[in-house]
Amino acid sequence: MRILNFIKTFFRNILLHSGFSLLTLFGLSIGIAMSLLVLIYVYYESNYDRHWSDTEQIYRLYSYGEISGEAIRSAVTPQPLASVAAGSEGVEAAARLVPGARKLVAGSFNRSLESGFFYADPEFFEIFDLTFLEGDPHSALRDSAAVVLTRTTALRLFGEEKVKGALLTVEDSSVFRVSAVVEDIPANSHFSFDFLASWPEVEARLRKHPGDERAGMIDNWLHLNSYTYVKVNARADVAKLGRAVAERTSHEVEEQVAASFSGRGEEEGRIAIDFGLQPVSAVHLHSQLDNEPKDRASALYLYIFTAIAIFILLVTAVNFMNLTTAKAARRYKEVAVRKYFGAGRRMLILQFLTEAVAFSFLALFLALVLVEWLLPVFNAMFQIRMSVSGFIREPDTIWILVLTMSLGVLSGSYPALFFSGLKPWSALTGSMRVSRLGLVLRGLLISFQTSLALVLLVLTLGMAWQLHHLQGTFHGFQEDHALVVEWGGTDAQGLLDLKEGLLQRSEVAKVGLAEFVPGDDPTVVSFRWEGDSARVLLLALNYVDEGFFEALGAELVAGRWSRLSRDSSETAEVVVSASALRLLGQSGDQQQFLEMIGGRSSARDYRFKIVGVVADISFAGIKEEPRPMVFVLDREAARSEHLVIRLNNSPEGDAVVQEVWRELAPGRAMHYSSLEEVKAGFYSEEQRFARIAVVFALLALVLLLFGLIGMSAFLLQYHQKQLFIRKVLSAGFKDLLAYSLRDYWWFLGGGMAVGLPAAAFVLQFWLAGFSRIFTLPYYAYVFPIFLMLVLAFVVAWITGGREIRKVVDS
Amino acid sequence: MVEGKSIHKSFGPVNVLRGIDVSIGASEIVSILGASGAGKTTLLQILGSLDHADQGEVYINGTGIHQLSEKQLARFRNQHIGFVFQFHQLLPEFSALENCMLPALIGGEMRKEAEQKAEKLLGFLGLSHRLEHKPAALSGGEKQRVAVARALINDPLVVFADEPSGNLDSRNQEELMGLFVSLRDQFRQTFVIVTHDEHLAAKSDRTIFMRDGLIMDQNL
Repeated sequence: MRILNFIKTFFRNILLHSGFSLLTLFGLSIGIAMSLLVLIYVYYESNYDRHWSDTEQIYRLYSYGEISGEAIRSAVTPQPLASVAAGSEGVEAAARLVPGARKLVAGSFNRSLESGFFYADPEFFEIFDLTFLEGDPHSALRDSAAVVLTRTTALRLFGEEKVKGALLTVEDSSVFRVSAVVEDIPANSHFSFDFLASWPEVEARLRKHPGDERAGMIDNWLHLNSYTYVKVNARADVAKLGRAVAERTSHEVEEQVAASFSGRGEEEGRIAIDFGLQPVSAVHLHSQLDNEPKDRASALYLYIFTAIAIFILLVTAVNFMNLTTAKAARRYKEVAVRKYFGAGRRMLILQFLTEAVAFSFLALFLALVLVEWLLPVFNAMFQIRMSVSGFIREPDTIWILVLTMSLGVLSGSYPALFFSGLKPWSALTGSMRVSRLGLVLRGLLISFQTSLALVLLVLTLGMAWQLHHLQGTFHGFQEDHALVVEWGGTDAQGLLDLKEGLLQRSEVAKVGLAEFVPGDDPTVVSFRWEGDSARVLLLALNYVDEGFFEALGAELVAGRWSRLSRDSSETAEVVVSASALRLLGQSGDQQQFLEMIGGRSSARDYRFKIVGVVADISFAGIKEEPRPMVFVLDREAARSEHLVIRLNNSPEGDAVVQEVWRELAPGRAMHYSSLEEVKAGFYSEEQRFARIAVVFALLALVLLLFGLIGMSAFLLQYHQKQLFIRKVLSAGFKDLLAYSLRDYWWFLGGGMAVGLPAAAFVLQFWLAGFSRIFTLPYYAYVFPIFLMLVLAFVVAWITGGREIRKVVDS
Repeated sequence: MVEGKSIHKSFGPVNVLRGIDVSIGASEIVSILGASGAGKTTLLQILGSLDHADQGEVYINGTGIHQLSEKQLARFRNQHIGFVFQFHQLLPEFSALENCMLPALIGGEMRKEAEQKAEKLLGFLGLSHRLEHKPAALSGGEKQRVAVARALINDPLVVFADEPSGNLDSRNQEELMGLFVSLRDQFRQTFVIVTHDEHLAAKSDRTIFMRDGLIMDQNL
């Protein structure tokens, strides 16, 4: 009952002082909304793969070891590993998941080039319990040529969800029967697929190529190409399981290594591969492995974001305290009257805490509206799929209430203690005041907010500067007037015809073919160099045609471009990248021979002569050191999956390419992007982080704005008596304003003095991850300071000016 | 009813009260008169349980309030003491009725009962037609009558009034004093009034004169 009276009083106070109350409420709502957005994001990221039933029992096997002194830590494993794991004690189920190449897929409604094609063992659904809209998890992947579709994929290709039994044509050659339709994979899973085909289909496909290394993948312990998952029983000793798997596989690996080196008279033991287990729920944040199926997030960023969310709440709470106590005079009388009539300190504390908590919940309501409104923007900006409802439905929602309650208690604690401690008669006469310590503490908080805003603003500018210059740097290709078009892995003749067709058009300057183009993650293959035949080199391998380098605008550093020999007895020519040459430790003018390890085919496919060196072509941006690469000529486009098209400077270039495509590849969906887009995509993660920094910088400015309003209001209250005395002594408007807000400028300046070196330090920390750094000019530090000074001046003029005018006019 | 024995109070080096002995009987209207700095308000605060004496004892209706804890004092004040101030000190966000009910609600009384009591009191003071008005809509005299009603809502043993007429015109001053007398007569209410106004003090049952922290004289 008493609480209800307090709440009633609270609402009446809001109505009575609506302007100031709305300002306070707005500040609190923004703080809560921003914290919620950050916390929803942190929650989203930290709950990857926690939606599976028994997720704590699901583990992924990974490979680690070394090849010629180079450490390997990879999420992919050899294909035979799953059967070893399945037979180990404590394992309930084991399954492989293998990503397929892009494919042209046709349903009854649509036909498109699809990249989400995966293959899995039938036991996959025993481990990952997806929701089946149609079909049965136990039989979905048992039959050969069975495929499971996600709901969205079924709608895209068939125009409806109920498509069990329908036929799916792949690459116009093979046919799959839809055995089940499942709900889309939750976005916060460490893998994602649109199609999941049965494992027997993989084997059948691999065995179609007995002549090349792909057939060897099936039972080869040195080919790392499939993800292996196990579900252990609840009582399983995972450490023991790891040891058992290691024991059972070490012999197999050793045998395979020996077989690879056998007959060469070369030493063994330079390849060592072992396998470990990691909880699937730890993959997204804590895995340090290569070849992940999806981008990981750094746990460090989440810790930073959590700290930011807490900081925002803290600042919001203190701003609330400042704004509440800054206008304390209006509450003095109420407190005094209540004390006169028998209200104890506890009751007053309860009243002010109740008000602050009520304020927080009111702000929470507004914040939730704000979050709901901002979330689509937030999702689009950060390329994620978060929803308030998903967050609210969780049992952890109670934490929102606890957090809001805590925020209320924290925000209300100072006003509660401050007001309840007032002596009633001095409160009634308004003769009480805050201690100097109270003033300094508030001021230091403003300094801290100023520092933080400055750090974020400088960081934002530094990121923009770095990314702008990175993108302007030569990446080993000319990105203007060039297109990259996906073809897929089949119909080589069709691809060659298309190339010819394109070259007939005057708008097209050059056309090249390649297995991988910038933006792809090329396969890394073990090579042996004839200069040191015992040394194993890990080089990215890319099959290209003779036109690839010119179409891409690559730069020849030494030698010449490779040529396809008609004489099959001649050694194939290859071009290597400059970094590959450095790895060999040789200059470009020496003749070198490379040999691919693990081949089963003729020497022609596995022994290469280096004839040229190309400047490093960046496939993932120049943040890190370039990946050494070998470019092997692709006979008759057998492995080419992309076209690189260089256009003459013609506005109709894109349209012409589309026209030729429609003519020569009818019914086939065209997916293309410009090389400029590809290059921009290299830095998408940094762009995403930069956007987050922009949001936080703006937020820090908004919070600083509220902080400054609260501080100036508080200082005017604090100096009120002095202002009247000085006014009597003939001080003018400017004198009074300068006097009352001198501390305001001191604290602001102090914050800037600390923030500036801190900003430089944080920026250097971020830049440390780049192999090339572009120094930020001095004016990028000056501009945020200028901006904040203008903001502070406007706040001082508006809030301070109004109050001082009242004093002057009184 | 109210008895103070040898009350001493200092603020730093300044001795504000230097051994006050005072006794106020039931149904008595006593005015405390004196110049600024004489210690009137400090004495009122101590008698009214809002401040502690450095030395001495205070009894109200036999209860030694100097021995009570802060919590007990707050409770005692709520149940047995009423206050009237110079500037009425009504809360602007509350209506006349709600302002009047405030001490009853603080004391934990049910809202409905508090409302009934407040209505009755305000009716007695001639404010039945102003129950729902906010202070801003009331005249100076009306505000002060609401303040008196608020002081009386918990049937206090004694009402302490600090310059209650200081903000009123002479007509309202007369009316207020008449009201105190009427309440004393009809409800046997005890009043202790601090004032500068000798004219007002003259209408009380007894006047205590203070100077430099001491009682100089008492007129009956």
